[in-house]
Amino acid sequence: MPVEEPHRVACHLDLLLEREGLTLTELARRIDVTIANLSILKNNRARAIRFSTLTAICDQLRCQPGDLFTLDSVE
Amino acid sequence: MSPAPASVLSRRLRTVEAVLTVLLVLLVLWIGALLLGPNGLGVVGDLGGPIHTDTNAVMAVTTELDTRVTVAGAPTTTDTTDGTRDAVSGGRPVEISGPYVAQVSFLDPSPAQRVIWLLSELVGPLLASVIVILLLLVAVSARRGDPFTRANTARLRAIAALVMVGGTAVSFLSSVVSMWLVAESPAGRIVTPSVSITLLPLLVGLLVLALAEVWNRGVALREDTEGLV
Repeated sequence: MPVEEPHRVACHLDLLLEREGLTLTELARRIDVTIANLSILKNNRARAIRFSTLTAICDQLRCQPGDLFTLDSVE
Repeated sequence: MSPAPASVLSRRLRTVEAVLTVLLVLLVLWIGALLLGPNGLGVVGDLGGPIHTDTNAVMAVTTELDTRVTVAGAPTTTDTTDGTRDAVSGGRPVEISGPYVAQVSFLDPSPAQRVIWLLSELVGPLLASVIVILLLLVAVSARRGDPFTRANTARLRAIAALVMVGGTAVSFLSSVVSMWLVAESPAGRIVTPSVSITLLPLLVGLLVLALAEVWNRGVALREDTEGLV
């Protein structure tokens, strides 16, 4: 198994979905990404995201990348 | 060039699985025929059909005859004013020379001879069955979407080892058993004992090992994209 690289990037997909009144399933269908991958993203288990996927999510949720991701402060 | 659609790839992989499954079934039938046939437990007679082999009915080995053995009626040549010609037809000459390969059939083998022969015949298809099962597992994992796993790398390395070591051992064992059986029999008078080993399993095994290492690189690349959305 690969070593997990620590990061402090938090994903706010759940909040944006709620704001737009969309389900994860519907978003997955619209942007042609699997529900499994979107779920990985939503639960902060993703290690990387393609720019094409980021563009598609931001288009559908009418947001900027900075709305989708924020950097948690160091505790 | 864009990759084939997933449905096409899935269909191709199912075809590969089907072919491997048929091969495995034939190997199992072959093993069963040897074990249950006249030279094994004697439960069934010569089964005939697509799995019939001569060795199923009569215990036999193929061996090289001594160089002193000649073939009666072999073509001979004669010198003519037009050059060397066939002695009978006068046409273009040919020559037949040994050593000749013959099948030695054991019409009444002892129990020990039968058991040893049977074991030497079983090792090949048993080895092939294990290899086909490993290949089938790789094919199934590919169809299910994730072929580049450490388990598949281990399977390919195991196949390489089985082919290299097992294949060479089977060839050697078969040669030794044939030599022993024939040397103990009246045919030993016209057979020069020799043991032969083919290097082909070694070469094929090395190729599979190279493939396994390339596959391992694929596993590393796959793990690199773990969690990529």
